[in-house]
Amino acid sequence: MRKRKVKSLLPLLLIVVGIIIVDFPLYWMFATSIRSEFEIFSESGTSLIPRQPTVENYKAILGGKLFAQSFNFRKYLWNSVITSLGATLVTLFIAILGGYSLARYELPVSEFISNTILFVYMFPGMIFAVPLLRFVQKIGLYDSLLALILVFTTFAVPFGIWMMRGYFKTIPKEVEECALIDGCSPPGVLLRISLPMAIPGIVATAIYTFILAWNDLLYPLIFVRTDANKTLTVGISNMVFGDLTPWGGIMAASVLSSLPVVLLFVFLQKYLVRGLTAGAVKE
Amino acid sequence: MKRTSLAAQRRKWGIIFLLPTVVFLSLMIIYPIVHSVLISMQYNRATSPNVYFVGLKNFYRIFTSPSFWQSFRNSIIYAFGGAFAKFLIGFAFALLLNREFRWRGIARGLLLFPWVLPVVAWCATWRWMYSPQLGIINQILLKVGLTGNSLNFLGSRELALPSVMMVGIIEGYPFFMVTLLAALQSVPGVLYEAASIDGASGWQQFVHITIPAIKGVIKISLILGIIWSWNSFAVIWSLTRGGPSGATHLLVTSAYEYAFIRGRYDYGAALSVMTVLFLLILLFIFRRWQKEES
Repeated sequence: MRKRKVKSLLPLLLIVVGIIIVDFPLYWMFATSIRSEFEIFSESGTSLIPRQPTVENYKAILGGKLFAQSFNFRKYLWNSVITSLGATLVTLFIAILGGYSLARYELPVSEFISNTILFVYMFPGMIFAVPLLRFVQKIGLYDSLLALILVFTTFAVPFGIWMMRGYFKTIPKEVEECALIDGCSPPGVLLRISLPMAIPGIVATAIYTFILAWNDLLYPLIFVRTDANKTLTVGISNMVFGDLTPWGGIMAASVLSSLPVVLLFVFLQKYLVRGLTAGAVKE
Repeated sequence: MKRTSLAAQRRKWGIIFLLPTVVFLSLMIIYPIVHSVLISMQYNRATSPNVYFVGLKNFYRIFTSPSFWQSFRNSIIYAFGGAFAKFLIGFAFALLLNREFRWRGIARGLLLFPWVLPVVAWCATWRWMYSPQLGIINQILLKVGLTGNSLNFLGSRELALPSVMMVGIIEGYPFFMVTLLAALQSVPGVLYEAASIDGASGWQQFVHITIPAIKGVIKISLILGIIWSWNSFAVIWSLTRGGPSGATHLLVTSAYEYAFIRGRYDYGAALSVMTVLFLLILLFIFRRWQKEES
């Protein structure tokens, strides 16, 4: 009896230890963000629990200054929101139409296009970077948020089409066929029947696309130059490699930049994991 | 008669719906790839308005430079070693989570966190934890007495690559955990019941039922994991920027450095083309491997 109990407790123990190890950085990020810069560089800087919790780091970054260096957090945040939202909207437009066509219509090119999309999704962003930079410079969009929205699509759209195609395939097409026979036009069917049924898939695709764009570092490094156009990822990354590293402020910025994606995930976890694994396991 | 015209009409709409995708693919994907290949065979630099064809000269220069072979070696270690470690850890957690217990949903959520966090925030935290003077990892090691003096995790040539890989592994294992857990849950329970009745041990059941049942998912997730690690830019760039002296440069990060820090678009493009070529070879090998099995 006793042996059995030990046997069933061991996996739980392993899980708890695992959680402590992999989530410790998350705690440490938060703990550092509420210590004063003075405390961080003192003896008690590595105590597990901050001695005198403070919000001074948050105040500093929201005020735009860290250690006398300018750190335009609010501007970076705004740029991240705008570019991620923009890329998500563009992606949804192309991905819903394209995913629907690839899932429902057997055109001679459908299979070729599906394969191409899956294939190029595995390519590194760098392969597109130099030509796109030249292109963006030529059309006068270099160093603008619009340029970022445009180039984010190189990874967001293939991903979006693949997700939407997979989702449309899980919806039975009998209802659509009945509507077609009753004389409803194809765009009407898509708008009135398929879209409402695909809302869970659309939401999952939108959230993932948003997170992908929000987290991207490579393109914001390349396609914008002035401080006022930088995103959070570039802002934080530059601060980390500065001469003097204001860790309290950097950690506060990290907490705030993680917050939106973590909240999205906590509330929609079940649903997002299901959407992702359905695609990955089936294909 | 009516039927064919209806079908033709339907087809027309299928093409219209696909139009934005085709425009996108040609403009944002195909054209840049072709242009990249072209630039890789040009003299093409940020500092000079001259652009001309030089054939395979850039590739020759790359192949004869030691820094290329260093980043190539790093890429191989990072992609294969990293993906394999992520797979093992992810699989272990998937097996642990594949049973009924009270806080399972919460445990899964907590184990997923590293994956959800923005890479840059996650890496900034690790850079802080790795700090030689005040980093918590060194403080713990010193207190426990595992080291006499503090270790420069990201600054020493020997420790930098393993330290960076560790961050990438903890950030990336949840993908394997989630995918393998979903696969494990789709294995019919009847199989295990039958095996138990026949007296098969837990280990025998694992080897003869679990593994064969989820083999396909194991393969696909490993392939994806290797490719993603191969293309990984943000983890390296936000932890070490390829340093110290190239010890953590991957092909992708050194392509970025050449093109956008040194302004050598031609070299950067050539390195990117190499990255993709190796990727194609990898995919080709995997395909053969899968065909042989089936």
